[in-house]
Amino acid sequence: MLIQINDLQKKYGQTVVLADVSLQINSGEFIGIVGESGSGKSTLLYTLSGLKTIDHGSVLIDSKNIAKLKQNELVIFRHKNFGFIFQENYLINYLTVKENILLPVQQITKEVEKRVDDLLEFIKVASLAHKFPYSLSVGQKQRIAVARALVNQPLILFADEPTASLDAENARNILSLLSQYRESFGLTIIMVSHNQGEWECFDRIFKIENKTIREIKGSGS
Amino acid sequence: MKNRALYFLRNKLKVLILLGVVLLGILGILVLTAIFGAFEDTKNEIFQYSEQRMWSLLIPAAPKADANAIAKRFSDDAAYIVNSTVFQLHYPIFDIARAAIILYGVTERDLSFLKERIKIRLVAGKWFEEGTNQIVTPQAFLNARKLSIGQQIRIKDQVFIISGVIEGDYWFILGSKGYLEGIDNSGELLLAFPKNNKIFNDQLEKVKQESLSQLRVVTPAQIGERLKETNREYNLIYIGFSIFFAVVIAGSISFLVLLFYRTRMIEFAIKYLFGFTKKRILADILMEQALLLSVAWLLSVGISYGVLSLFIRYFFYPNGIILQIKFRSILGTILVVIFVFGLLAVSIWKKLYRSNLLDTILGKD
Repeated sequence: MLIQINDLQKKYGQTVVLADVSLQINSGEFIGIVGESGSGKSTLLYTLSGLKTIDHGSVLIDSKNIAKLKQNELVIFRHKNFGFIFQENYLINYLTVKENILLPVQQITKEVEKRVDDLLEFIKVASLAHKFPYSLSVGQKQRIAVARALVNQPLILFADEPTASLDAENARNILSLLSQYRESFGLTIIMVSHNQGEWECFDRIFKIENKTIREIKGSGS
Repeated sequence: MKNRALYFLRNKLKVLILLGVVLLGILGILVLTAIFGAFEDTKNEIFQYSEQRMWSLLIPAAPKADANAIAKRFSDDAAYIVNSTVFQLHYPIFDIARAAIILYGVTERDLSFLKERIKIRLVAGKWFEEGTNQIVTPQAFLNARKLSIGQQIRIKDQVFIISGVIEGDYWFILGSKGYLEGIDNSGELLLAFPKNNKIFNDQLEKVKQESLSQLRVVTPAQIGERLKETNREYNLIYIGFSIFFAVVIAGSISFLVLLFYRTRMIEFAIKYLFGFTKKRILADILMEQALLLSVAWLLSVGISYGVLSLFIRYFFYPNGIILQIKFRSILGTILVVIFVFGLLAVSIWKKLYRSNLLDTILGKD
């Protein structure tokens, strides 16, 4: 799945946050978006994923301009194609681990349940399936958030500083999980990161400076 | 649809809380049922002694005495009983003076009831045998008629044999014209009035006269009307109770849901983020709330029944009427639940459609 951003501009009120942003992401790539705090990394991620509107330009995903999609069309598009992880895990405390992972699923079938079991194995928390999030460590919770993001088998995973609240070991684990999953299933990952230690995982890195974007690692760097 | 069916199961903690509420409700109803099980006995007692056994005519206090009619009613269709006197039998401290009792054809079982309830006891001779024409009377009646045990007496069109003399601590047993000043007691009925007791000590005579002046005959039709009227009142009270409990329980459940308000918003936001349409989320929430409100409604209907039974048993005037909840009264309470559901639906709709759900996760621009 090819992602192409052309001349993207995003404003908050009268303040321009992103301007003249153009880039292309190929299917299966692990992309890092880096930059100073407040530079617009998360904003870029949200505009790429259609969570926030843009003021100018286009966001083409397999030639479909998601900026032009109607709200319901966009929701359905997200469902079919996107997964999300955030710095905060946003797990629901009154649901078990397995139920949390199933939360994005609209039609629970045996196949889905099997997929969840596989994911639980994959993220190494199978024994916690029936526990509630409040009894888990921060690292475990974030791994479950990863599983939740992957349960619908998305083609693109958007990750907004998913390791920011984790210690070094847990952060490595999360990155390792994402890399493994990408290698196994050809997932495209676009991840916002502020931790330079993580950059080696990325195929390409884009840095946001002065409201625009610049590739600092990868084919074009 | 499987997913929707599982939706509730997936909210385990909430379901547990809900189950807790339901179990408490059921427990409450069971306790109420146990405590007020006697209520059913009371009902049987009242109706058994009135409609089935036909042993007495209990005449409620009311203006315009008509002893002739009383007498006629006594012999014709004494099967019907009315209201207040029954209550007074069971609760003699309440307005005891405003009723009269005519005793007739008492069975052994009825007799036990009389002995227990109005403290009538035999002072001479023997109690009548069931199914015979024997009667017992107060000594005053015998004195006035110059009769004694074993002799016959004609009351209305029937001949009775006097088998014994009775008296009571709380009731005068009066039986002749001489005691019924101003009233033509041509039927020569046995009338029981409250005897001198602590409550009415000073005003007994006045009360007695007042009681006599208030004797009336109640026809079956009137009784029917009265029953209907009272039942209407009870149904209105029932609706009131149901509404009260529906609001309280629904409010409690809403409060529980609100306890998780922020988390729930995150839950909806996560769903929306991962591709649930707002319409679908709204449908799921409304289905869930409909289930919760249905439980609230069922509990309110049940608890109201229990509480109203309690009130009727101990506080209201139990006119021999058992709680006969009309179906439409129960249906009426549904309107309240629908109203609450409507408010909830509008509130949720506003939250979903009039604000950016994703702000919960992404923060505001």
